[in-house]
Amino acid sequence: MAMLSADQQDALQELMNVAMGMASDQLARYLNTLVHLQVPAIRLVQPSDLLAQLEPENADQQRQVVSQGFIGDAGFQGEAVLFYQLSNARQLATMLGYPADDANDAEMLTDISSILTTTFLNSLGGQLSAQLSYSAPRLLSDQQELLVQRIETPGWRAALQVSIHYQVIDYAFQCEMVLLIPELGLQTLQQRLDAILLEY
Amino acid sequence: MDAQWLAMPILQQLNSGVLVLSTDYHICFYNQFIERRLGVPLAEVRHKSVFDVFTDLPEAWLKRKLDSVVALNAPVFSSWEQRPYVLKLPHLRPISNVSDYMIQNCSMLPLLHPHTGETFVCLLIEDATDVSLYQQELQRNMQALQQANRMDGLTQVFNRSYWEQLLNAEILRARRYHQPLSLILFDLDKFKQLNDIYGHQGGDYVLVELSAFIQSLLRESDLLGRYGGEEFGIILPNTGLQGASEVAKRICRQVAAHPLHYQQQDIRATISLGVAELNPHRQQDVHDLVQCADLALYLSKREGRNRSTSYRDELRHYLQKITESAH
Repeated sequence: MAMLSADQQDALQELMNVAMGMASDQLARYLNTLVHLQVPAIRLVQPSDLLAQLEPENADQQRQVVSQGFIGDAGFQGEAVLFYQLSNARQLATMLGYPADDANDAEMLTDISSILTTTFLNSLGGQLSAQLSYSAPRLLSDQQELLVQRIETPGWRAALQVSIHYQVIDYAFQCEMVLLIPELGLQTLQQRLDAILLEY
Repeated sequence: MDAQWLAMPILQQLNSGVLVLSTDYHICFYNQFIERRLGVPLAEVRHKSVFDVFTDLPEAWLKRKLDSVVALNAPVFSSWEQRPYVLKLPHLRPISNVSDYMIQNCSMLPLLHPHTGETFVCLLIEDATDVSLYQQELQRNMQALQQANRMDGLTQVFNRSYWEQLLNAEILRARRYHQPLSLILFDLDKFKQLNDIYGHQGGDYVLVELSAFIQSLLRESDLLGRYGGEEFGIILPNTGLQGASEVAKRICRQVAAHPLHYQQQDIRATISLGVAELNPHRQQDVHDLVQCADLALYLSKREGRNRSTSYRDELRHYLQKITESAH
């Protein structure tokens, strides 16, 4: 498994922190309210770790999974998978101006997910001097089995897991973002990190 | 080669729609893809509000999306599965397609003017009409498959496995909500004889006609299934023994009075029925309830057919006695 060296891990953590700061600033302006984002915890995970995550802890709580692909220059690419609770998303949706009676949860969820993912990844891409393009976000909740099947296939070996905790004034919005980065993307990421480390 | 000149011809010939709006929703540009389908030259509508040109646009919805693209400098998407189309445009196969308008996926992307730094939003429209049709067809086929999987091929009432699933679900529901639930089992009398006289096709004909006739006598909530051979079951949700017994007697009478015409002959078929109610004080499962109704049905047969019997616990003793005396 491709591993990040301690230096690379530190550099990446630092870039993530900056990116997170920028993303929360953008979100705050957009939502017109204070947004605190905790320093994201990052770790490299293997397929089996992720499978454990996919097991719903509590069947009553509807967990939503949205996936969005991204690609930049020189093979920096991957898939951002966001996990969060529907009730959580509804609160954020109200802040974003969605009508309360809007029955279209799927659109609301993909919109929110897209906003969270792209603001963060745009900032991260900026740090890595990579401009990113995105695929349309897709709701995976009703395809859990398929997702598990895909994850079990050896298409990737390691993924970067980024845990993000959003705090918007008086309520917390918790979501987990997992960046699935295939081997090639991980190599590119390491090269970028090494280049950044050289500059210091 | 200087590639600069490529941009415009490709933009014009692109098989996707490109619409560029200012941050106050005015039209700055659209490519040929949109121009031809809209039938309005760009020069005529440039600088007009997009909502005045595409009058069907959901204004609040689109503004929310566009504002977020500008504020966050990040793309936003709209999938046909959530909103069939953003711009009301015709598609290019008006004859072979069933949908009236082009089904679309739309990406809304932020654009920065390289010199002025001004922000614009580009709406990239992709035709998803074919995909949506395949999807619809797939769903239709899945539904048809599911239907086929639940139905008895001959009589078009529920087949045994699905009917038993329904019965199981109804038992659980009745227990949860403390509602009565009854079951009727019935058997076509002397079916073997019918087959001997009219042949197997005649027998099949009777099964098909009787199923349809009995179905027509039932309420919408009653669930008729073929239990096997010439034996059928009816689940009567929210119905006690007395109500179910009345239903059974009525069906019995009406079947006997309903001649079936087969090859210029009248077939007079009768049925025997057994009725049982779910006992709320016992943990009965599908098997127990069916067994009670079956016992009542057996007695109907024994007492001379063309009648209905309701299950009571005393019937078990009675049955025991007559089987003992037979030995």
